[in-house]
Amino acid sequence: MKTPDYSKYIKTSFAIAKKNKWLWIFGALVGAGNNLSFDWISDLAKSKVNDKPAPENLFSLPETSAKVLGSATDAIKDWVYHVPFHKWVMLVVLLIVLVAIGITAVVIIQNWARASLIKSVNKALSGKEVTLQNSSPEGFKYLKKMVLLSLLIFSLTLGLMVAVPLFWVGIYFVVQSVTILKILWFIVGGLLALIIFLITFALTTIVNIHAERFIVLKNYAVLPAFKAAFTAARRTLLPAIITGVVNFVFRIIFGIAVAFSVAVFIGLPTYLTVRAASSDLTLAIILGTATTMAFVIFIFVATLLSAAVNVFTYSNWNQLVNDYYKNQDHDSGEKVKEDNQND
Amino acid sequence: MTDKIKYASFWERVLALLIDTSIYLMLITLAIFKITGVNDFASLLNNIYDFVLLNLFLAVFIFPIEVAMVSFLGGTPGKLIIGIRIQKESGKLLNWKEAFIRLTLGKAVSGLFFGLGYVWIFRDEKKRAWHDYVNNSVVAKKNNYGWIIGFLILCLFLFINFETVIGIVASIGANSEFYSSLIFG
Repeated sequence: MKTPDYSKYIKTSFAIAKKNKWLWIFGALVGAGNNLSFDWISDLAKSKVNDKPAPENLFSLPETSAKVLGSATDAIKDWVYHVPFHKWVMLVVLLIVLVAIGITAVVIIQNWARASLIKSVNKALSGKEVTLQNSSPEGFKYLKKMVLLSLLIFSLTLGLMVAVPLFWVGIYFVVQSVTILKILWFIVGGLLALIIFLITFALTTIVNIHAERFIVLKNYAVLPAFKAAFTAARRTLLPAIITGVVNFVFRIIFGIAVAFSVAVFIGLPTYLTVRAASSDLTLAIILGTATTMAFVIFIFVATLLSAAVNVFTYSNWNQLVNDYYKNQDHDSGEKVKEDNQND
Repeated sequence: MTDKIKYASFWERVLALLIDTSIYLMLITLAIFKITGVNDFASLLNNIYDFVLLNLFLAVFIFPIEVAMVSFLGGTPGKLIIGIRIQKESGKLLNWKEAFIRLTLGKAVSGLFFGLGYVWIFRDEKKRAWHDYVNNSVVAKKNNYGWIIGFLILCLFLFINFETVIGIVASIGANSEFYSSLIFG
């Protein structure tokens, strides 16, 4: 694949995100979906690092609380044993059904938004008008395939998160009788496992980006899209990494801008309110009201801008994938020509 | 055909929503009334447990009931009382899939940016919110004076809710000794 013109990508994506406000709806839902979807896995991995040991007195909580609450604890215990079994079953079943409904709704919303956004960005790139009405049916058209793909990617990511640490722990147990090897594997193997994990995770992400577009833009079935995405990921690895970095940098800039705005528009007025509270209550109330209003406006604007940033990043990916398709078509065209000449 | 459709206004839709909410609220306040009407610990726990189950039950079953009502009758109880109906431009009712999408995805879309999608009704010539755009539906007005009946019924429901809340406060007052002993030992 030829080296893409990244500055053109950025300019075009900026123009697309600015012009097509309807796309922000999909951008917002894609963003909301990120918080509700499979990111909990990486959060889980991160949280392990910061986990502090539980305070010792936590383990004696049942006894201490029993001392404080006295007869109430016994009454609760008695009551728990007297609740009919079918009521516990009902509680568990209802909770499971509720969670299942919630997950189903989130998966549908997220995949619909992704499919609609991918298709609509391409429409916008080709100069067509984009509205919620004409984009929404596109999302439904590819919904089933997108859900299946997200399940496939989820399984792969989960498998990866289990396999890599297992591999590291497994080798660690094998070499644990030899002290030097044990220490060496602990450090080198740990780093190796981390590198393997990061590389495969990045690859899975790139494959996912391509596969989603093969499904939505080229109407591939799930498995063929996944296979084609592997080839595309291999051929566009460097451009994809650069595009990823560009998107990442823009997100970081956006994050810094948000943090700065919080400090200026929320932090400073809050500080002034707290200071004013000790001397002038009326001024504190006015400042407090103004800060609350500023906070609400800030949340609104931040949500809008975050949605626009998502549209921007999706547009960058779409342009990269479109260029790959063009090259592919061009290459296959050349091959046909060559074949014809050979004949 | 399309020209003859009268579209429900924002306020009529809000009224329908208030009626629906007051019905759900009635179920919840009655359950709270039941909780506060006891003066022994075991019954209190039993009632709280039943209250939790009721809320879970409502959360799980209200949604499919709403989907069924929208696809078979054209709306939730509030909309039906007022005489407004969710339908396609052609006059057909939504099928269950479309109703499901409208109530999940559609509402998520309208709820974005502090509910901007609902306020969109004021702007759209067919008085559509963003969740109407999502599956190309409209809310048609079948009865011009339905809002009067709706308003009266809302008042009735609100009165029942108010009476129940008064009952809850009275129950707590009547069992004040029991509740003080629970809190202060």
